[in-house]
Amino acid sequence: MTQLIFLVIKGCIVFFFCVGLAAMLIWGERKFAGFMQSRLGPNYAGPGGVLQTFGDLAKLLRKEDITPDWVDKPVYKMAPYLLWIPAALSMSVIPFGPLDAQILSWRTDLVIANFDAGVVLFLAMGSMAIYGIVLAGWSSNSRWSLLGAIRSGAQMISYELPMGFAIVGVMILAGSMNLVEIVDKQAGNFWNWFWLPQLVGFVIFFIASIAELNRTPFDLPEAEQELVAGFMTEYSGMRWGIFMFSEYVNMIVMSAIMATFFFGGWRAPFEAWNVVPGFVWLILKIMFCIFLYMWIRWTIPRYRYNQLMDLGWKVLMPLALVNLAVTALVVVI
Amino acid sequence: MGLKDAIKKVTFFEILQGMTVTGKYAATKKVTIQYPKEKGEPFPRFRGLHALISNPETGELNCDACHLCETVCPSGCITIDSSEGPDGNKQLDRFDLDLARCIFCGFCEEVCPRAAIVLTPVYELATFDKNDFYLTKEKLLANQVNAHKELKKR
Amino acid sequence: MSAPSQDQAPPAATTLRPTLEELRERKARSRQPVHGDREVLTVSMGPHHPSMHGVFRAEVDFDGEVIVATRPEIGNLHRGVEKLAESLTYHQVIPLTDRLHYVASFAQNHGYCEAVEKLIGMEAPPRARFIRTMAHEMTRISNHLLWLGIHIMDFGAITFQQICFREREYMMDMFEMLCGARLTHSYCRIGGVAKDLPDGFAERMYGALDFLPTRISEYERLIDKNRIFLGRAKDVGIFTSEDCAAWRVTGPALRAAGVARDLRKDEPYAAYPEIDFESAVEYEADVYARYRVRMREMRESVKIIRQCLENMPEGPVLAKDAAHVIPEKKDVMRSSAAMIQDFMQVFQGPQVPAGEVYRAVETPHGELGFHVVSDGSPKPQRLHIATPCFFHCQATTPMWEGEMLADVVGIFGSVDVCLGSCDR
Repeated sequence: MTQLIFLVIKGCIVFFFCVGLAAMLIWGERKFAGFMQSRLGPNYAGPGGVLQTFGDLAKLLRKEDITPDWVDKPVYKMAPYLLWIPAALSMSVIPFGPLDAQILSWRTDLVIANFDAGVVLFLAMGSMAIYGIVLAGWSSNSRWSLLGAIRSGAQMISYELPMGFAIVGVMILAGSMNLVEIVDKQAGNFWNWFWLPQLVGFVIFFIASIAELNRTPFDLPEAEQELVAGFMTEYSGMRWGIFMFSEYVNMIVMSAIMATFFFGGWRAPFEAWNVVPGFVWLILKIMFCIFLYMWIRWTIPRYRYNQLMDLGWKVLMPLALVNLAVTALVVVI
Repeated sequence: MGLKDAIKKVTFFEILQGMTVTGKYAATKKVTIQYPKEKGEPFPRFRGLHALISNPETGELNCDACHLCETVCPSGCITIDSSEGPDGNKQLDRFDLDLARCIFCGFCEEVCPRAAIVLTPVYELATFDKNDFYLTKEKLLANQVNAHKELKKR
Repeated sequence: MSAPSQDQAPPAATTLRPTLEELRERKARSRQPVHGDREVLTVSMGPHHPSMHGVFRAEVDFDGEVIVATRPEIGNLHRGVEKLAESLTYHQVIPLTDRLHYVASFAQNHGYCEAVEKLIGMEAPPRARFIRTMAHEMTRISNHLLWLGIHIMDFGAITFQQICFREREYMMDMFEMLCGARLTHSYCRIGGVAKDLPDGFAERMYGALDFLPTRISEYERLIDKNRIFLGRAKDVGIFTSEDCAAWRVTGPALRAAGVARDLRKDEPYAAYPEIDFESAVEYEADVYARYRVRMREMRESVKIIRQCLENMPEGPVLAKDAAHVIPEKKDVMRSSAAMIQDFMQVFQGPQVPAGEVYRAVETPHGELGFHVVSDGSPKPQRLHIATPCFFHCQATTPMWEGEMLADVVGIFGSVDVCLGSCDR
């Protein structure tokens, strides 16, 4: 019974953490973008502008909810949520600390679900985001939305495969699909983490994750709007706000996954520093990954569509396969 | 492709190089001037709001109502009415300047032989009432406090 | 601030110049085959353009990702400049010419004044010629910085626009110091320039000139070898010299195709004969070549401005020509002859002889030509402005055909069009 209560509490904490961090990230991205462009970001709403997101939220909530006549209403309304809720669900398998940890006087696992096929859950849920985009564009019943949605869908599907193969390399090294065990196998100092033996895999995963998140340099659905706004065209007000918000939630989830697979999850960089609780390290690693995503977004231009597909299929896929083969060989031998 | 180029390609060298540039901008001083708390100071020659200059002691306008500024204005925004004054010289009855038509080219200031009309560094001209854009002699005279002192010499 | 010699541009490619046949081949290879009989999707890349080139409208037919046909439509920014000029005296037309290509206003003032002076048969004094050259090169830097920011932003690196505009502030501050306005300068006059250099201008300018090459090098470090940029710019949008000649494309786009046509060297005006500079020529004729041409032009402009400041002769800034020149204010206030000249120039206008003249200058966009027809009156009978952007907009038809949708904006941006200049 107490475990059930703990489950609910853990779920709430993780959910609110995700949502709250996404709201702060919107402000953070704008501030960081400003800094890199030699200007101050938002600094008016609240100290340092931290309340900017809430100001935007209030504005969007007060907007009129325009649902165009010609859209497929149930799908149109459901699509924004499909984009991030399944992805956020994969936060349930990420360990925030060791199993059977002691918090004050209670013992609990610092993970919502100690699931044996955690990797599979993450991959499956990540693929649901594709549904969100394609359905959003399709239900909008407009040629630009459909065009943007299909291109984005094709991009995300193409990059799912190298991502998956990069993860398989990690799975081979860890010998398990359970994220808790993957983190346990990275015990030690930061050179024991999987980013070092799987360097190629890490780079492939990083690039593929940027494509999954629809961020520059792969942000064709979002910003190659020489014509119109892609799959988001017919969305306005809070529905559009959900799309924006979902990008940041996806970013948090992807960073958490990357931290778990390649940076040792909740483990400290040095053995002696494990006195600091695990979730602090995890959060620091998530912030670091997000920082990298943002830095890259604001520096480099974006790929053209055919170059993007070339990169996914002709470069990353073979590299991922080679990485997998080499890892398997090394482990066997 | 030589070995150096191959290594650069694999390690994303030029992308990392680019990232150091933006990283440097992130860490150095920002160029933002936080208007309206901080304001940039225009240079003396800045072509802003007009001002009619009068003699500080006598209060007499520098303007001789020669109609040069009215004629040279490319957009025709100045309207001058002049008549013969008591001492036989021309005096200025009306000087209206339609700020909404003005293109701030500075020709009126340039051709004036008496330095009677100058352009001041005042640039905050936004208003909620369009009638504020129709400037009369009084409003223009009031603005002469902002004129750069060298331009006021007769 | 490091010394300028440490921030030299990489040397221009002098090896492996492609011939015209090679360029034609590369163009054919980089473009997609166009099947004339397939169903096309017509898109209006409407006046509200996300890529900020002004209100340009192009109806584009797509076959999938490939452009089949283009119908450009201009005129959304037409303000009747040429017609307005017929009701204004030659002096009053100068602010109108500012607003053609509003980013590089002085270049247009300069072109107009050169044309009218050629009609009159008068020359500006030496100091005025040097100041004109310096101001023209300042607009070149300003325009190319804006172009760079917007062009790379079209490719996705949004940071570029912000930082290039930050650099542009230096040039705008210099113009504000010089003539009082940051954007619409109206600084050139018939017979010279409006005002002399203010105190402290040279020091401030030298400071900016020391600083700019370091920043240009930083931009090159950010984007020059970036694989994504190279992938989208090399062998994309090849517009060979024969295409340029057929569609009257001039300026950096022509020089990127290997043709060394630069009016500053071919038909020199102002102080250019006395200045030592290089005209940037590249041979690849693609988007990357146009980018390199403009980066090199920026560095050359810095050199030119420095030489102008160092060799600036003393003297008046307006010619002593009572029939055509509005005199300087300090003369008007002191001498009655100058005051009479002032009155005559304003009330009667300049005594321009009857005749017609065509004079072109090398603005940052290309060749800007003024065709002035005079019937002896103080107002031009007909002023026709042959702006480079008008022809560049027309040239989108051959430039975009066969290219992919994603390259449309890149190619359009690389030719640097400003609709104010196109529509007049």
